Amino acid sequence: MRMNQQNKQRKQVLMLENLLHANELIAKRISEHASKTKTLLINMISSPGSGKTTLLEATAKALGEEMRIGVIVGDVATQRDYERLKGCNIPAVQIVTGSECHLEAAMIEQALNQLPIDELDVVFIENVGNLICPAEFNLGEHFRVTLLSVPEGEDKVLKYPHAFRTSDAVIVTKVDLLKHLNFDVGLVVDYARSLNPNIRIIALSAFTGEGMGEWLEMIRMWHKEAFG
Amino acid sequence: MGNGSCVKRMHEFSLALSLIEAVEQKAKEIGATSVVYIKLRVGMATAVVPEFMTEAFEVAKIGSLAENATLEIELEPIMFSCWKCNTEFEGKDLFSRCPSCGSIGGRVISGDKLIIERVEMEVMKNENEPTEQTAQASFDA
Repeated sequence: MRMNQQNKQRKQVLMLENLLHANELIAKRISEHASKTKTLLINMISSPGSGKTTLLEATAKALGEEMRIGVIVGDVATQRDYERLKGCNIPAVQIVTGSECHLEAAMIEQALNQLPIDELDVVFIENVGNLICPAEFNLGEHFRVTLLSVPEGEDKVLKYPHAFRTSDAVIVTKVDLLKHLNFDVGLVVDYARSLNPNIRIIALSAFTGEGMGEWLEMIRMWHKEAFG
Repeated sequence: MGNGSCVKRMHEFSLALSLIEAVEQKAKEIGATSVVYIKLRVGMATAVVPEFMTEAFEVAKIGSLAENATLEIELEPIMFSCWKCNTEFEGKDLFSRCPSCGSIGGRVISGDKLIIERVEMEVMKNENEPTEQTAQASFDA
């Protein structure tokens, strides 16, 4: 029996494909699903300790009667944020990523399946505390906010432009500390507007309640904008 | 090296895994047995460090169809359209100045993505596979 001769042949393939194409497809699916159920998805990005969970607790308290809220929390370790938010009587899902420094669309799709999304008006996604990597992953959100707390300093916007550039709003948190620190909200406005002239800046304190009204109003407005 | 660079390396590793997934998928589509070369364009407006990406790729590729592949990375500058005067200009970071009016930044037109440009794959070719001509000839005989 004659042995067949195997030859290796090289083939060039032009791909021109976005490396994150797979994530984009899932993100699109999420966005479409959430739009069908009229559930506003808001992705919250920030450094660790900027006050995402505290802001969500205050938001749940203030808005809970008016809008049905759900939360997806991402952390590298622990369920501590999840426990706090469950304490506010809102449906919550915790994603523990292990080593992954950001959330991806596939994780969100799974998490949304665990929420009564048909009954929810808003789902906040509390991303893993990190100003670099989360910026690159579309989670299917309708709007994205980046938090920056007063103790962190205004130059965070210059040092970590990716998150701020891709956001619809910058939320300056912990403004109750302004009297103790040298922080110029005006500089945050200047830097952020160089990245995106249409970006909104809201300065608030979840602790004292200052500025919370503007934040809540923006969420209501976004819901209207998205679903009429 | 501090905590910051550890976080970054994990990020490039996760991207390297996604890269390998994407090229393996393409390999399966065309019936290739291995990937030997990948050209990746890294936009300067992404948070990716090319050296970290190369390092991560060398580890991530083990055991995959791209196990023996070389990764070539081309850094792409950011193309802006000035917010104020709409002039298109190139820059290396997101706070670059418009050469026309001097204002900072602009709408990013390109340079904010990671693009798998092209790949080279190995396909097995069977030399003794009968061509249509040969088959016809043996039939006539």
